[in-house]
Amino acid sequence: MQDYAQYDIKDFLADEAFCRWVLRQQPADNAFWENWLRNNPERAGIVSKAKTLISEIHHAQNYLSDEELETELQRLSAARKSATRDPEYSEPTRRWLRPVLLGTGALACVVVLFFIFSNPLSWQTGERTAHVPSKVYKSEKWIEITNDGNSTKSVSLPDGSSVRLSPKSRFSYPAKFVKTGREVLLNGEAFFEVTKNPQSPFKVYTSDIVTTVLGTSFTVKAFDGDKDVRVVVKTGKVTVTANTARNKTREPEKTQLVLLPNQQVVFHRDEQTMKRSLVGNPSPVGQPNAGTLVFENAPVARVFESLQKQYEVQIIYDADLLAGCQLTAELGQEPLFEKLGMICKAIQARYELIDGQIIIQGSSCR
Amino acid sequence: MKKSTPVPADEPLLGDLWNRFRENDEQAFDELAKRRYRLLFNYATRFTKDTELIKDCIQDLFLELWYRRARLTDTSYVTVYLICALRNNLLRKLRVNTRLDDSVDIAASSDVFTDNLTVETMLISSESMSQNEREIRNAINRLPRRQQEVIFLKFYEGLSNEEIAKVMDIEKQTVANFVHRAISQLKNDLPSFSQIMPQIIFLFLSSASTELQP
Repeated sequence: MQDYAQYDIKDFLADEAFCRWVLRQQPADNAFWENWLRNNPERAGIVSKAKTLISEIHHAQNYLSDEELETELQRLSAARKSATRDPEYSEPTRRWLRPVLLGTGALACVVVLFFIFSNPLSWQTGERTAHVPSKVYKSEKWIEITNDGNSTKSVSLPDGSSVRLSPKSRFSYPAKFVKTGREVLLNGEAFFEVTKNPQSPFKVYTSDIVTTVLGTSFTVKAFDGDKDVRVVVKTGKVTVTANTARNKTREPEKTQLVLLPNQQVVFHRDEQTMKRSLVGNPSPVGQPNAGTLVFENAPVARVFESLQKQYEVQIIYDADLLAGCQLTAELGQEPLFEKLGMICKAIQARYELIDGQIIIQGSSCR
Repeated sequence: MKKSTPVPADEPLLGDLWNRFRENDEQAFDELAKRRYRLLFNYATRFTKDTELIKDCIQDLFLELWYRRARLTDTSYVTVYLICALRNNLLRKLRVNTRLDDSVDIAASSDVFTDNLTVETMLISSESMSQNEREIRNAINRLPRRQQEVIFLKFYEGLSNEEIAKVMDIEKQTVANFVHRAISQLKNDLPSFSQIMPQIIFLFLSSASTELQP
């Protein structure tokens, strides 16, 4: 039996039984120490100080935020689920499950929305068949999800990505992704939230085009159209390729496009051509309410630069020609094209949209 | 961020979760991970400040357990088992890294531990800390690495010296020595530790002055 009455604060800290009591609060320890304190009331001060110090030392060693903890537990749970589905898979290291944004707890997302308007259910029959390289088929087990209902169906993929499948659409994915790439098939419409993994590009195969997710957190979105396939990028970077199985004769440079923010690609099925353009109403990238830009006698180049940054669009202009042009304006929440219109009116220029870029045609202000 | 609660008395429950997950109970597995993830993460920060590596290591550890669930044996020390397994994996990984990259020298990094912690980690985790706790954290991070480890196992997880000796594969007496050295060092470094000191000085001074008086 220790003579706790002689203990100083260091002794209490070093004492195993005392630490166990403070940290674990088990009934037997509680009873002992409450009793001891009753018999040694003059030691209450030092005991409470030692208790506080131990709690502080405990808390001081916590380096994990609740958000990070939640993210990691979800990642683990997703990996465990895919391991359960495929018991033969015995390699524990799956770096591609790594979530992206440390600390925020948010998964970097790639959001892809596809509309494919004709024969949405002619999966492997008929003309619109999703052509996929044979290596994709080689990985044995594929899971096919068909949505015959009236509401969106959620599917979660082995890598933690999620898919919201629209009605009358069909979606297939491998039970486990191969290391070199994550490839899925789509016929119809779906909304993808893809976890980022630079080592393993995420490819969505549709009958006419292949959409490859390249970069960091960004959004891809499509608009309505007839007999068209569209992919729209909001932020980040996406590659759209014509499905080569159907376009063998085409020159490669015409069958692949990189989409930057606020750009979209329209694939015309009849002509089998792809065209890149800006979306109807480009939205600011990042914070939606990034605030009002105020310019006072500012060189117009600076105005274009801030717009380029805000919308991540390409604005092409002759810097030398417009060097003398100054602008006083307050640019707020109005659409990009309205802003451009105002600026061009002020400097007596006009703008054109060519291949997803904004071209400013003007004359010197001098 | 909520404060991490002191070690909850869920060790018996843990044994139950362990047995259930060995019999393919997925929920038990997730629950086990949930209850011990924070402990393992914080423990690993005593070895490296590379939080991504830590997360990978813990992920791998749990997945490995899941794959090997049929072959795992019953254990009444689930926490100690997890700590030991993580320690082995971490040290193995760090040794490999050290061989590849001299900048990740574990021994060398121990002295400058605080400075090397990512700013992000420091900010996130220190938001909810009191000034006192921040000072304690810094003082702990100035200790030699093995003392840090002992302090963690003792004051975060509440392990006994014997259990610490088992985890670190050292003698029980060595653990006791580490504990004493670390506490003495912390006492020197921490003002809160020695708040009783002024009284003692006061007593000393007053007795000294009494003596001086003729």
